[in-house]
Amino acid sequence: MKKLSIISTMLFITLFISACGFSDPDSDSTEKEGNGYELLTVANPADITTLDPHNNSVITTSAVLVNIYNKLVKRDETGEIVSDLATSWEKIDDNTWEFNLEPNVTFHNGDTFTAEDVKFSLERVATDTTLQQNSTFRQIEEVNIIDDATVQVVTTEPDPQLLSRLSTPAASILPSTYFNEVGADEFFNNPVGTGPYEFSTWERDDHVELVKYDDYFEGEPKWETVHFSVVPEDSTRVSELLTDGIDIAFNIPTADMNRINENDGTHVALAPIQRVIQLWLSTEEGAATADPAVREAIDLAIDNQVIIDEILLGSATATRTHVTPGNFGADESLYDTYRYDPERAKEVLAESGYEDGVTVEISVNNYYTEMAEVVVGMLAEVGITADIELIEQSQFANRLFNEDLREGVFVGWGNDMFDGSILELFKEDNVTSYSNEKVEELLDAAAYNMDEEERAAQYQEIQQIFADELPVVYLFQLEGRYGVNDRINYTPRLDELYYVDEITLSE
Amino acid sequence: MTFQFILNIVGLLVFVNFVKLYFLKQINLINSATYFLVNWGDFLGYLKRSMLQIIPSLLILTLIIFALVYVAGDPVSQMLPENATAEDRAILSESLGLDQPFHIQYFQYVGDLIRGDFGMSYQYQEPALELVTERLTATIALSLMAMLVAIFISIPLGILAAIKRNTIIDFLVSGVSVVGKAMPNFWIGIMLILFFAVTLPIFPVSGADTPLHFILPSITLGVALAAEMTRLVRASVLEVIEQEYVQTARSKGQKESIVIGKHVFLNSLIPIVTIIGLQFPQLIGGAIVVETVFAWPGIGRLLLTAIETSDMAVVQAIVFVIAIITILANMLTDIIYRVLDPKIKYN
Repeated sequence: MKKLSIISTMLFITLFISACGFSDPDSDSTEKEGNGYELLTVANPADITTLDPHNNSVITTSAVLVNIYNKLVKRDETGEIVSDLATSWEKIDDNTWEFNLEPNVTFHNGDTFTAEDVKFSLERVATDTTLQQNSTFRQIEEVNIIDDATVQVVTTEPDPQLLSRLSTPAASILPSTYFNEVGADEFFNNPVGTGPYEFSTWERDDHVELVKYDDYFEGEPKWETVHFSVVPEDSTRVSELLTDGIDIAFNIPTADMNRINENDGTHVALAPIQRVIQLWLSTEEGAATADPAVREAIDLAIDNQVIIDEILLGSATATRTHVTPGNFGADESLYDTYRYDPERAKEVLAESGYEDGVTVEISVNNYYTEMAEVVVGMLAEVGITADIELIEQSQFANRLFNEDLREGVFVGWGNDMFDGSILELFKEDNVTSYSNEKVEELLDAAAYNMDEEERAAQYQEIQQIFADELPVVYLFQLEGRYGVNDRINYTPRLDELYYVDEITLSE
Repeated sequence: MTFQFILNIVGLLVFVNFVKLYFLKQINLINSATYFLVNWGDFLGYLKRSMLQIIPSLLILTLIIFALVYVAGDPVSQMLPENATAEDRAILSESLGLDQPFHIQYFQYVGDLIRGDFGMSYQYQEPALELVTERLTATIALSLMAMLVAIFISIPLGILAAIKRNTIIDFLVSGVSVVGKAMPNFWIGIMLILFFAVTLPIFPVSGADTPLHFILPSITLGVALAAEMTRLVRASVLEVIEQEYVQTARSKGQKESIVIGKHVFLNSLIPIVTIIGLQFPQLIGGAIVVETVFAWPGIGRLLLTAIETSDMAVVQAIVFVIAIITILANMLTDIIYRVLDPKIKYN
């Protein structure tokens, strides 16, 4: 009787579990037979939020979608803009660009790619203000079809950043006829693009599955199936990697880097990413940091390299600018360098009458608490008492733009456009209240300047002014940390996207 | 697939037979059930009253959730690319109707709610309720499994501790349950992964694809509850064991196993059922942590992401669904009481 009850309970549990609709074990295991290109599994900390490239601003989502859709142009591994669906392009006048399109491209549903699709896709994202990427494309006034294989993109004003915009994942090309036939909802349930991989399934919060698109216009893609799985907890992602459950684990904790390198069969791949850790300093009247001497002392008090070595185990590069190499207008003299001179910091404070020290209030979100705490310790060494306020990320983002944060704001900031225009963060009426006529002038001029050389010089000049006046103290550019299975070769990219065909099996 | 299907059918048949046998042996339970059925009318009345009580609770709930989410943040700043300007934020805010004052947004929300529309998720651009329901099964399945784990651990241990009270076994059980309660979920989860998935590769690390995937997460989620229930079972059994009818049963010369199994355990069930009923919604709360550690695709994780990105509609939908589950679990507890003890009336 007792045995019977145990058996029946167990059977009932099996029944219950299978009734819940979980799939059979055989379908998902990482089989590594054949030539090895059967399945690639990449684990991200977050699920994709949408399959709509125009309505997304999250990198982990774009990183997946770039395999389904193509753009007119794209960035290669070095950050250069190269052709994608456009074979060549030229500037007709300051407001008009002409693109010649790749012939013989088909969408995954068989539709032929034409100029009509370019017009439809770019105008969709440029005109629908509810789309998250609308702000990036509002400069596009219209797209004119010259013939089936030629389009002209007309901008409202001269736009030196147009190619950058068109190379972002948000400029993905969708099939106009099919999209209009089935409507947005249905389309994004089962999207088709021209990319090397076709959308197969999306198990929410579990994984997205892509499969090879045999008729891809640049030749047959390498992998049969690609899984982008979601493992939110860092240590779990590392465990999956160590047990061969996945091939690439994105964003591994620094604490686990040695363990992954020492483990037989896995290694860590590092590469700079666009995120620069920085401390914005308020120049608003009444703030302690409104005094340039205090800002200078803060810059001199922070030993960037110690934070890089101790907290990030070397996976970052010190910088004094946000426009790092690989971005348009980068001033390389401010990269891979930092100022650290605590004695001078004390002198600067003493000369400005802060013999008794000064108190600065700093806000930081939960991502960068550890780094901010080390900075607080360093500031204390020179007599600056930093009072830190820790804020949860969603609150932080909210208060940041309502200018409701304190004197110092500790943030990590990216640069989607790969352009010096990111410096517009400190344009008039910005969060720090910093204002400098010369900077305004240069920013306005550079925004519409079609002369590349002159434009780069304008951004470089602004970076020098910032390095001098310090409305922001730049600390370092982060590196992306990826745990990688030794069976594959993977070189991470500056833009953090996974172009799956750049990932190959190791010899 | 076919094989598993047959197994399931056999399992179900065995289970049903087992239940039948069990009930035949337990005349008391049969009596209770009969009484319950006889008073079906009372039961329906009770159901109606409960339903009516739910409506104002839910209305107040919508206001509280809406206000909290409203105060907590504006999703727009997290939806746009990092180079977006203040003007860009204003345009998106207006397009989504987020520039409207609080009361207009609230009434709009309640109006939609009455029509069964929980609104759209800003992050996922899909109906919020759909996002919740497609993940609900995974969370409920995990919670039920955790509950089973807790029951399997706590009932034998609790009874054992009560029978052997003040012995080394009792102290040991109490000690273990204090430790079990004190260990944080995420820590147990990570340790279980390290030992039983990495060092000894017995179970999968994460995910929810096969029955094997259930083991570690449900243990993680069930341990704290098991600890709490063990102490409760012990206390509850101890109380009953002192009763005169138990001594009578013993003096009649009945076997100790029957005394404990029939007279003691059955009569100590009421507080145990209470805690199971009350704990179920809490388990769903605990699932937030466990789902994150084990990459379990449930509503706990969805809630966490939704809060981080101020995705109002999703937060509201999840809290609403959890509230309904809580209310239903409480009602179910009430009903089971009456089956167990016909003396409790519907009022």
